[in-house]
Amino acid sequence: MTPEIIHQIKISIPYFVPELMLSATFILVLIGEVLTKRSTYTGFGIITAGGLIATLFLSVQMYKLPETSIFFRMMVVDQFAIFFKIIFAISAVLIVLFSMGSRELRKYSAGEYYCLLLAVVLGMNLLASSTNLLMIWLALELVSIPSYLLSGFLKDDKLSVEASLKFVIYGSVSTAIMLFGLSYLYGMTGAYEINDLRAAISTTHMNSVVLLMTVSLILVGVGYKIAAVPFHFWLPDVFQGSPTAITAFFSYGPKAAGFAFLIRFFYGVFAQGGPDYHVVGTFHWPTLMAMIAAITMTVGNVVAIWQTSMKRMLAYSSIAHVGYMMMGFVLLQQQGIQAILFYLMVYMVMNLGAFLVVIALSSHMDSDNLSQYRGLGSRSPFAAAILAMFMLSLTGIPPFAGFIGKFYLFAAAIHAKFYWLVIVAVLNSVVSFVYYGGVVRRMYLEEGSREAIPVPVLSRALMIVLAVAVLVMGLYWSPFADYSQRSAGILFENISLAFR
Amino acid sequence: MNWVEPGLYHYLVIAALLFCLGLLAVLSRRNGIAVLMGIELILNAANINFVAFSYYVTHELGGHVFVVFVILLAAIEAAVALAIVFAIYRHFHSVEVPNVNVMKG
Repeated sequence: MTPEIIHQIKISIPYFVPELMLSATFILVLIGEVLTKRSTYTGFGIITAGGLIATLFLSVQMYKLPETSIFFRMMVVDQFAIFFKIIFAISAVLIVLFSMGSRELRKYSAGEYYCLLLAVVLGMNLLASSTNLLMIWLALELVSIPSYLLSGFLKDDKLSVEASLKFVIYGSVSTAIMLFGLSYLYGMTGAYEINDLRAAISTTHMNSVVLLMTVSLILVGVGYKIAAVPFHFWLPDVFQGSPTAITAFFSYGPKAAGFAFLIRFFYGVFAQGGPDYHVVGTFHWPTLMAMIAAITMTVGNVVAIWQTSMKRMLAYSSIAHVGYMMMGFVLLQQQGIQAILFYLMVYMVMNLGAFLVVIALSSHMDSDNLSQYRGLGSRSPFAAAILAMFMLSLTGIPPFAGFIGKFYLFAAAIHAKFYWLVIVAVLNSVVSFVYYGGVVRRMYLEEGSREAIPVPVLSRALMIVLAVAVLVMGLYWSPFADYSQRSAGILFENISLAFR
Repeated sequence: MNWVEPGLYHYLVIAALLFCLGLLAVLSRRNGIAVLMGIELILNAANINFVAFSYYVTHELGGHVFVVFVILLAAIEAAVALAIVFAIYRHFHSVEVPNVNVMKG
């Protein structure tokens, strides 16, 4: 190694500590798995959660540091990346806590489970900060490949194995198609790094048809990761078949990472100082994005109405929420990106909260059929009240956080002058009340079994924490909004500096 | 253009054909293993593109490095996917993708 490389590694390592902490935890759990005879979800869960909390603290400490490119501009550590690292760590800690009490997982090895989970979190962290095509693709695969295994973790369950087959086929086809798009992008620009790509695209004249095709191929990979229509077919089956804790994880973590990649890549490559995409001369890119958003939320909400499985219903609901978040991305404006980041925080709390209740109740229910929720109001008043709260928040009813999140997204779309998109989104929110409200109706107005369901103490405590968070974000949201504004702002400062 | 000497365009055409064949295999084959082979074709189409661009356009080794990583990841992906196909065979006694369809809706 030349002295230059050693020097670069030396100055990069301090910015890489969260990922190193995750890797260290991964190795610790792996060694633990080999050394212990009978692994328990609680024991390994505590180690994993400890590692993730340490990662969280290390990430929070780095939020104040100025933006830095590390490892020969393979990655960048800025507030945008750190924002995502923080929410990934928080959501992963919640998932680890959900998994500890899960009954369906108990038969299978705990060490392997947490190792795979940590590997996905590491991949998400890398994806949020990668600025190099190779690094982006590697990080995307590091998120995907352990995910395939996690979705098929219940080896003796037919549904879980089927889910993992569908996941592996859809996932690897989409990432392969995206790689093909990246190869054309490399050929046209001769660059790997996002800033070099932007410079090359803005200075050299390119064949617009080829560029449009290239971007479409890349959009396949991104669309699969965030599950936007028409690349959403894998999601309902994968969500239904996977272990419930993993479903909760998939509904949030990898999607948030996909958004980080979407924003960093599209913003980094196609922004030219203004709100428009600089992709192809005459092609109106914002309209395409707006249509993807509108179709995604409509498909998600309408199909969710007919679902009879709770997990499947939440799967379609998560597709709908991706549609809402895409509203922030029609134009490359700070309002939009900021609204997406704020909604990601809100969505983490309310969506994981809903899954937490489902997981806590699942051990006393025969199936995840919605009819099992009949009369829950009298069987377990506490869990029913919390679940009702999350359902109302997901619909977007004040005073819960979902309302504020949607308000910011709608405001961003209005600011971008996409009024029809706002109307579609408002109508969609009304439609979504049919199925979210349906759960509440089943719990309180319909009669079911009378047998009481006890809720474990840990789940109860977590439910209270998440419910309080939903209320706080709904009533006193300005610190969170400021935080998302600061995190989104860094991208815009850099671009405007580059074009001054 | 000289059509006899192999040049960038020959490689690009081959890569594009390979990509289409891979996509066709993914979309039309029923056998799970054949679908995985289609995915390998798509990845290799991208590899040919990277090497060709790296040799003829940018004249540096970046594209080659990319290809090494892609080959590595393709192997990892194949290992995981084949393990999943084994598990499918245990439950469904078949690797035909359309038969693996318990969940609908």
